[in-house]
Amino acid sequence: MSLILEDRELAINPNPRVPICIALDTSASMTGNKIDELNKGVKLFLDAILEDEVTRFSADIAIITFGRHVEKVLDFGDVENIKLHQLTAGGGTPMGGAVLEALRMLEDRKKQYKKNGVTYWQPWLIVMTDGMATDGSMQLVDKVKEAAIKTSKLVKDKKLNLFSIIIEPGTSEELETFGGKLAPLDGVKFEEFFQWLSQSVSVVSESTPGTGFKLPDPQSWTSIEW
Amino acid sequence: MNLFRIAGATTIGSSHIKNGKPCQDKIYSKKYKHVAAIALADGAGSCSQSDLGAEICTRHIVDFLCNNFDKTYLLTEQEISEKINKSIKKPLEKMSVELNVSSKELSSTLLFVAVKGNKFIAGHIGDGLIGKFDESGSQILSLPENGEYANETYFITMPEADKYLRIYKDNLNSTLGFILMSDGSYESLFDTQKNILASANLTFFSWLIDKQNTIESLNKSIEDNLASKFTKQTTDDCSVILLSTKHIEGWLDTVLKITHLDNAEEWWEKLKNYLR
Repeated sequence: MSLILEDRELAINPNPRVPICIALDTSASMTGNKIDELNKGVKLFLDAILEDEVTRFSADIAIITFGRHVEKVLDFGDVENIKLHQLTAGGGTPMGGAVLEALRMLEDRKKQYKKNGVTYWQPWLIVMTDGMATDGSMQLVDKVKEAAIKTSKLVKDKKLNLFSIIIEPGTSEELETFGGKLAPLDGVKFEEFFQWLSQSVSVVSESTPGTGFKLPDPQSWTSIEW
Repeated sequence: MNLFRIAGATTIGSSHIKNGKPCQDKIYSKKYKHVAAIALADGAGSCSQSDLGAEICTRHIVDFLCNNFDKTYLLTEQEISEKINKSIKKPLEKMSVELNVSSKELSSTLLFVAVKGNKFIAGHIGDGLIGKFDESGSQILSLPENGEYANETYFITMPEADKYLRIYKDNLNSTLGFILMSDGSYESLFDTQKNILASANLTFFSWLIDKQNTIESLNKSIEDNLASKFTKQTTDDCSVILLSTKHIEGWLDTVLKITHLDNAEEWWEKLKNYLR
């Protein structure tokens, strides 16, 4: 006779989470085809996360835009009830402020996980921009430098996975100071990038202790090899 | 008189099947010269020979404790940790030379319990959990030790493993048995929000002490439950191994104290059967 446990005898624990904050440049220079493709890419990403049976329960996503100001357009929470409005372009590029806000949100999210007994992987921060920051070295308070000091330490201590994506005609100068991985986006291949991102999240979500995950090949959206 | 019973099983996780990796959880047990020992090891996911490392660790620690229980029990916990760490590194290093790989490729966690007479020695490095059963049901003996993140833990192959290898030794007193579980099984057997062991732990133990269940059928039942139920909660490998200890004196009093269980009468019937 086979002995079978009843479902009520088992613990049901929350899935380990991977918190991901995406900081997107929506400055005036992103107007036109770039913002249209960005919107398509973000929608594809969120749909892909929901369709994957692993990432649906593990990915914890927040989105910040930086244009007229730094704005939280999607907060961490239930991925199944995401409602994201179309992003519009305009204003300057307060990238430093956006990265600082992203770091604060990720830190707060980790505190919530700890409080609720939820295990989590290293947070991810993705920064996408097509130009120089307007709250950087030319300003009285250099927020880019302040952000770079924090991100580079976190990356060095392996407490943050950081991906900086240069949208044409942007340059790498400021993004290099953040540390982490850096890559130029081929043209407006936002959809390809976000597809790669959803696949990467899936790889992380299935990793187990001692597994250093191998990211999928990024060649679909960049010329860089990681 | 000791009449130990031991049962356990492992099952491969869906992520291992998907990635063409073997099951990296291993269990091992032995009864030898009045000692009963059980061990469980979980090989590190990205390490190429960690399944072999886990196999080596479980066999080595069980043999070590069966052959050296008395001498080991006399040492302090720190001395035991250093001695075991030094001893277990030898077969791992030997295998790494044979395979021409770094010993890091054989990384695994390790959990174990050995019992002799009224004494036990237990040890734990990494994730997973050791539970024990006594008159009040199931208790935690050793919690997982992870880094901050879900994919970080400690392995016996680390150079300073003796700093992370936690040793427990004591008299059994009213302890009736032990359970070792890997981190995959932990997801189903430990409620992380209430910080308590799920009732399935006690159910597994009640099957073990019921002498009507052969060890072969128990191993199969545990395996079936891991494969059909535990794998719904995780994509990782799952494993458990249990040991029941027995001291004829004191058992009846102990059993009568188990009054809070819903199925206390059932427990009592099974225990009476076991004692016959």
